[in-house]
Amino acid sequence: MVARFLANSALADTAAAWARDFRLLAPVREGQAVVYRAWAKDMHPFLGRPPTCSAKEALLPQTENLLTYTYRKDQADLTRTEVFVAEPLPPEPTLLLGARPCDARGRKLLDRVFLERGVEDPLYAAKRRNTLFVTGACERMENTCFCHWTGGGPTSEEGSDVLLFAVGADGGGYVAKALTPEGERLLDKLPEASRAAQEELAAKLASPPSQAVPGPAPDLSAAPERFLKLFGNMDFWMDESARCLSCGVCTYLCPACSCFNITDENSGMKGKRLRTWDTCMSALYTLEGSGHNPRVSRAHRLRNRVGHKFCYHPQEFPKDAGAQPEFSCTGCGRCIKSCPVSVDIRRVVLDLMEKGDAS
Amino acid sequence: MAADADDRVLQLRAAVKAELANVDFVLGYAKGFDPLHATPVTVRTEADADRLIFDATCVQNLATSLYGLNGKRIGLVVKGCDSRSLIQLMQEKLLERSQLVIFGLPCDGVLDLAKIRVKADIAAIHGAEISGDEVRLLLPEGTKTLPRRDVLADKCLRCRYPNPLVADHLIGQERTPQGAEDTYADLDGFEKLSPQERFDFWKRQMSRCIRCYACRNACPLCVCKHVCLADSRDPHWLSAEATLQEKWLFQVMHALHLAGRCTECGECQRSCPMGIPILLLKRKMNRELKEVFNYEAGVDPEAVPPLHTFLMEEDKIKDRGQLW
Repeated sequence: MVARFLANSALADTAAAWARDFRLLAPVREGQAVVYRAWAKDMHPFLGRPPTCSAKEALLPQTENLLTYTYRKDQADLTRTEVFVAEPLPPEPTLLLGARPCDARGRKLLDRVFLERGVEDPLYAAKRRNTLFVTGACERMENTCFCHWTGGGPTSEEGSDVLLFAVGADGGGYVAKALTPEGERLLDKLPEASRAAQEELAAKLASPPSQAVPGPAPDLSAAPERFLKLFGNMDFWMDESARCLSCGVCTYLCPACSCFNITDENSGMKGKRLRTWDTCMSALYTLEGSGHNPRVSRAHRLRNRVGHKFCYHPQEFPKDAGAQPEFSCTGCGRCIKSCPVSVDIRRVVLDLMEKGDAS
Repeated sequence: MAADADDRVLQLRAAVKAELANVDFVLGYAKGFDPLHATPVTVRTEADADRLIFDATCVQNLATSLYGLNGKRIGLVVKGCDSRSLIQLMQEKLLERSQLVIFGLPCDGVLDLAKIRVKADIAAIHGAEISGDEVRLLLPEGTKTLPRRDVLADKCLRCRYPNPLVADHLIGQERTPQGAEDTYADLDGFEKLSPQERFDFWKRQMSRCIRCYACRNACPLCVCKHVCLADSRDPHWLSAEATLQEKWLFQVMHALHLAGRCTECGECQRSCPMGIPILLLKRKMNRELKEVFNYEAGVDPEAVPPLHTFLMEEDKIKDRGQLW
């Protein structure tokens, strides 16, 4: 495929052109946060920092309408009530601009849950089919990044339709590499990347971003077994979770967390059935109607978050023997960066590796 | 930072070690994942105590962690502002003084990472030095020096209680307060906007909210936790939808339930991953409380919070006077 060039000066116009064919979500700066917003005139997409939120909202929105319903009394027989159910409209074709490779890999992990468990989630599948990711490759690793621990990398192509590489040549912009036929169609109006730009990119790819800041990746292939060894050691989990506030920052910002809740929101004789994000950090998560909660403490709940990502998921979707397990974590580090009390999932996993070996 | 900084950490560690036998555990601060982040730590052993630090990165209010620890005897490291939360909790009989061993550290102010992020890209920082009036950031592209006052939390710039108001062990020299009487200049500025402009401001800000409830869970005075009205299905005040209306209703609830109780520790705003300036709502409540009841939360252990009691005739409330 031909490498294309997207000049900085052409970014807004190109985005506007995409917005004619797609519901375009682009990252913009708002205060200290970088958030995805639906395209509007005069918007300035900001690709300079990873967005505060992950890209999962394009595929698994925080609130999703599953159906709407209306009750109607039968006027001839008032003991009878009929219910009329309407499905939501099919999702619009969507293009998400400015995700990072870790977000795009999150898309693969969400597919596992919603498409590959033997039951296909129709709403997710419909969104997945018509959502494209134009991803920005990372030029460096941050203190909180650990994509290299979980099989990704700053220029990983997995899950993206187009990957943009920032270059300084030709006045500054991006060398755009299409990774899927749909991605290629997005780029067909853009000029071919100049030789200078391509050479700059080749030089950059030859010396990938330094891992000096986050440090080298440990071998986590034994993480699932170590986790199971420590499963019943509540002292371990209590110490790891003691500072946790039980808020939803880590799970809501996670590109791979997929737990949801379903509620009916009634309003008189009508209402809607919603699917909304849920968080295993909440005290209400798995609270049963009887009042019993199998995950009664923060320790149980942190154990669930770590276990799901580093044990249950790799066990459910095993890789070939000897290969690195697939974790339900892309190493984006948002859970670390935004945690009010600096809980560091890397630290928890390293403690697992260490103490699960000893016990 | 004052000259006693290093000394003070050693004193703190020694004091904590000496009390370990008398408490179930001590809550303090340790180094976090990078030089600008501290993280709360549970100290049970002398080795744990040697991890304790105390500096301008110790932003969290550890009084929040006391929730659910009734019946335990706990050591707690507090700054001046944090001690106000303890006093307020004790005033409300939610906390027993005898349950606590308080290690109070006079404070020179803590960093506001949101302010630093505006001035420097700290995502790959590998070192930080805070001394005197300067904060030096060691970044991949070189060293960047910022005036300390520019990157201190707003609450520290107007702080009148740098010295813990309640403590069993007071560690380090007492500090001179930085601020005089709070003038609420920020609030005054905001209230010069028209109601429509203010409403538009909040609509824009709240649209970013992801309903993670970090603001609620980080609040030391938000003691309902998971039996919060925001989560209740019966009564059903808020729907599960992430709409502006629900987000806003929760913030109004939070501010009203904190009226006369909030000590402005600022944890709600600091914890917000989306950078929504929700402390402003609580400051509005506090200014009203100050005007009407001349009351400031968490300062006097003997005082009764004004909304916990009533007078037959309030000084500044004309309550149905004409009817009687």
